[in-house]
Amino acid sequence: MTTLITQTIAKVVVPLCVFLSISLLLTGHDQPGGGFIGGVMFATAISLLYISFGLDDSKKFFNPDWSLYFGFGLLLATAAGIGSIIAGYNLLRTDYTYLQLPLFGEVELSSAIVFDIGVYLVVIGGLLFIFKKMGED
Amino acid sequence: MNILEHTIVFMIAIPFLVASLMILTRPFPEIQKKLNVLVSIVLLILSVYLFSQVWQNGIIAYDIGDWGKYGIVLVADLLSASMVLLSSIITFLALLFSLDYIDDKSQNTTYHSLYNLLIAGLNGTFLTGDLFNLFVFFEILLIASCGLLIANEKVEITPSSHKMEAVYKYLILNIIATLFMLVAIASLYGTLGTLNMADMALRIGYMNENGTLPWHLIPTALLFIVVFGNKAAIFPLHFWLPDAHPTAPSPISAILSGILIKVGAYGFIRFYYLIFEGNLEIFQPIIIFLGLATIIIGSISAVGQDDIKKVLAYHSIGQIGYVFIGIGMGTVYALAAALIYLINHAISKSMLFLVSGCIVHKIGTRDMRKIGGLSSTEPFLGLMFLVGIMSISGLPPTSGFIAKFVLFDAGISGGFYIPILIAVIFSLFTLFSMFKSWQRIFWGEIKDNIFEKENIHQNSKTMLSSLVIMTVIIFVIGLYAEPLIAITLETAEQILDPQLYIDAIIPGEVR
Amino acid sequence: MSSILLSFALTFMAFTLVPCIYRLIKGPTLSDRVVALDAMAMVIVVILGVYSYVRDSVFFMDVALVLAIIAFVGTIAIAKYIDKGVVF
Repeated sequence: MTTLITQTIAKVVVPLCVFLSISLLLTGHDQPGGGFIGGVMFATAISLLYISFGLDDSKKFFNPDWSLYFGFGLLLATAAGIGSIIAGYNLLRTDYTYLQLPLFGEVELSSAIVFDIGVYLVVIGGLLFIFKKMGED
Repeated sequence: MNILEHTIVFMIAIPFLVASLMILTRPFPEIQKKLNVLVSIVLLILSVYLFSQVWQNGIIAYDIGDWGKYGIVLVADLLSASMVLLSSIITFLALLFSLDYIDDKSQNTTYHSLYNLLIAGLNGTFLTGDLFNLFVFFEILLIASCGLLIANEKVEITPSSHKMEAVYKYLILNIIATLFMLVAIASLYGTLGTLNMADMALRIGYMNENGTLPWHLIPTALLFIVVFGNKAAIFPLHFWLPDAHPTAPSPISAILSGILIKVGAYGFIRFYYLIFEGNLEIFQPIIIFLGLATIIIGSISAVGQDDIKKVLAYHSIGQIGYVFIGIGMGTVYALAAALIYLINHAISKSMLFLVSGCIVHKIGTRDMRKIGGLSSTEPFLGLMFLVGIMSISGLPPTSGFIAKFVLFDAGISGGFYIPILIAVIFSLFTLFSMFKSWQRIFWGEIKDNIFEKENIHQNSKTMLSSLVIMTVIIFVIGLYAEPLIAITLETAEQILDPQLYIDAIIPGEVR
Repeated sequence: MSSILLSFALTFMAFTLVPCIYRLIKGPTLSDRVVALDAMAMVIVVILGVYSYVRDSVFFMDVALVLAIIAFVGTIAIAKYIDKGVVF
């Protein structure tokens, strides 16, 4: 009975929480947010899924290998740093331009977003790998 | 060559990149091992190049992201470059050893990537010029070494519960020290307004001249002594070491005892001589007292142990006390002696841990009461163990003799007679306990030396070759010590005069 | 007038944390303590909302949202642990 309530609420909360994590990631440059808290929100959402539906049932329809996310995120973050070395500056120097999007008007885009996405994937991969390993034990 | 200007940041960025590649190449174990060894050799060559650049051209500073002193600055002076070189050598040799020593299942999943994160953390700690960045790299070291402590060896001698208890103690005690470090850094930032180490040195200098040095910098300095002392395992804070170092697999024990303890001594030198330069003379008796207490506790506790690795772990505690006595004495000669002692202890203790790893790999147990008369079947390991023991106890012609001689000479010429007397007496304890353990393992009556016949493995050529390389280094330093003494004297002069360091980062400001 | 009301509201909400801490220390079972923590988190979310109006800045709303989600998921995790003995 109680699990039915939790599962119904999880079906509503998890997509909203994923949207919140992506929004925190994208606005992270000049406002509070960034890759780290976005990753924590995503991990919270997926762990809510694991808690309310149980780890075995969740594995039947959603079973990625989280350590690959960790590795790919670390690769992206260091490639963002080394890319600026190739361009001739010091490590991790970033630049910004202004884009014109149809609905939003003028939006500032910084090249630090690549590093932030790398940190996002590292946090997701790290936390969910640990949760999954602990759950299987 | 434009790309070699960025050498100092490649030391940190390449291990991070390779750690991610290690995760992605997990289906191909052969490629993983070969790539790791190749990257280790490349890092060794780069650290030699960095050291030669610093020796010729002076201090090198590198701003990350071109933010200048408001961002993170990487600084390589002689102390940093020599520590990076030392850590590259030891991690390369431990990697060669661990290719055949660690269980295949552990090696395939997490070992190599965590190893590269450990190398990145070590290089980052030694090369950074920003106090909060030091804290971040301490955290990376803590987490990476915890993951590596749990790795399994091919020989199953340590039950899983021992490993869990050791990791638990290591983690909790170091997290409490991390909390103290956060409070100390926050207090220092609130008082001085900057996190750059050179900038802090400038501001403390201005405050000292104006006479407005706030009194609460003294308790902050005491907190820093607690923090770096916990990393270096000096007297009241050493309780995590005798559990963590023996239960780790042998190459990881070698890295932990060889380099990770020295991170505490490095942080201590940076904070004592660079940031608070000249304001902390009242702490000198405290540091010498802590160093002496560490020597006494470490040497006495090592005498009655029955486990090979626990004897070596207690000796690690004792030998760090010698380094702290050298740092506390404060003259150029004493500081150079402390650095020579640090280098000697790193190489000798790593070698002893690797030799004990070979013994454990062949025999299958760590308990010295059950092993005896091993020199009839393993004369080569006996010889290697003897070289390591001679170096730790300070017998000629090994490098340990040079280190102890220079340290005691510096103490006597500085006028510290009673500390040196106590240190000499307790180094006799070291000599006694080391030779007793050598005698128990290799001589005496021959016992039934093969336990659990399915658990033994032969020592392979790569494992023995790292031992041979370390022996060569010990004898070279022991017989031809003049370049090393010249390098460390130059380093000590650079440490005691922070104006060069400040000039490299903030040009034009005088202390 | 409205500033006096807002200050009164903030002080009153800060005082409502005290019974929660009392229940946190005194609670005979684990469930009491979990309920106390959840109530404290919800009160802090509301305090953050009012404070962001007082200081006229939108950045506290992100903090309130994140704290609410983490408290919610934490309470569900501990509830499942008390009921079944295993979290995942």
